[in-house]
Amino acid sequence: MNRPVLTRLGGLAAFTAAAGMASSPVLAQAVGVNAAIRNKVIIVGAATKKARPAVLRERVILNDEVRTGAASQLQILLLDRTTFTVGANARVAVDRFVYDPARNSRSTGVSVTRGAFRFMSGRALGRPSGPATVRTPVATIGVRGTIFEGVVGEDAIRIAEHEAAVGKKVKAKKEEASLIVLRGPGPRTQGDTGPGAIDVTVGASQVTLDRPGLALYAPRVGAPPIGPFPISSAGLLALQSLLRTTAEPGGGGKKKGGTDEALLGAAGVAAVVGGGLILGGKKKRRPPERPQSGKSPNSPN
Amino acid sequence: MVRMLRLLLGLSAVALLSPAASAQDDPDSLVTATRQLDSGVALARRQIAANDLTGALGTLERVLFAYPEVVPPRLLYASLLCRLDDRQGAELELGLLAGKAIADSDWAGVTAACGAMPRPPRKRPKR
Repeated sequence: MNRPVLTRLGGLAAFTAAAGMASSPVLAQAVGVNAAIRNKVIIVGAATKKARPAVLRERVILNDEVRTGAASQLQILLLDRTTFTVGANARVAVDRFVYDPARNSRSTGVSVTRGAFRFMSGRALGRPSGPATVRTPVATIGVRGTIFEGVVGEDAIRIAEHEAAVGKKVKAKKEEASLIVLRGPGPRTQGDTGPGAIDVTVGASQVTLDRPGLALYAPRVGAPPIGPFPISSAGLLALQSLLRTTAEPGGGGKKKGGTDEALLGAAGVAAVVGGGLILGGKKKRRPPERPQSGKSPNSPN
Repeated sequence: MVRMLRLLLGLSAVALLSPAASAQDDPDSLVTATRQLDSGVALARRQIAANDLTGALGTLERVLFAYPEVVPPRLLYASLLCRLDDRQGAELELGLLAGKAIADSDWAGVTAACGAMPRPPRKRPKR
């Protein structure tokens, strides 16, 4: 996660876009806002290393780590209108962000060490987005104006092994396995939105995904990537369940050992996360909570 | 001092006229609009009209975080996926609406974007 910091908010438009952050002492590092929160989402400050619950409309700071629990999601809206959705059981950080609308200069870097995610390129000021990179433990994904999803870890293995192109015999590492799926826009996209693509680099290999539904699986460092292959509807549905916005159960499910305590690590902090009260790693259950997109006790207003 | 004030006023005016300053483009406004169902869907429709299809998709995703059981935004979301050439994704979204009542007018929007699509059954299939 320790990458060169390239955050810059230059030009009047950038200032205007960031006007709401003027009261924040961390103006230079703010890259976006928490746009929607569902269930348990923790932010670990890059500078303080302290964990705190995510709050709707709170600024997203460069290199802060997002940690989500089971059946939990966070949507981050970056200043260039790129949308990054973090799914269940994830660890994610925005580690590079350049946004200078005066020069139409944009660049984004995100690291995903675990969990599911969805990336949707932004179109700030009516212009297509700049280059963006999403890194997983085994793959680097170069984004060319598109929507794609991925999952890192055990869920990637679980989904991929049911795909005909992969199967159960592939040796994978649960800390590294990455499944990446392009969603669109495809070649038959309507309106003035052009087709998008992603270039996935795994070791010395580079594979381009340029049609919706194409997937690539990288099981571990040193192994060649598998694909591209068309993901099955069952596979896509399984991936979607980690990013799901329905009220149905799913979203990754609760794993043995509990994710919630791990979210806070050894920080030993007290935090009210959605409806779950966490005290020094021990938690008392409260009734299920509403997502923070609507009015919520955790909302700033 | 007066010149400085004039400069600041001028800059403020430019900022207000700047596209970035519009209610539709400011991150806080985009988030606030999606805290209510109607204003969120209205924002998505404005983004669609402005050809910002991925922006509209992000807006509807936020709406669906808060209102996962409401049918019209999910239909609009599925329509957008079709317009972005993600028919497989659209079919999965529509599959989530099995057992829900869908207004003919709302369904017409889906078929306009997607062409012929299997309409989700009114009764949820038995598992």
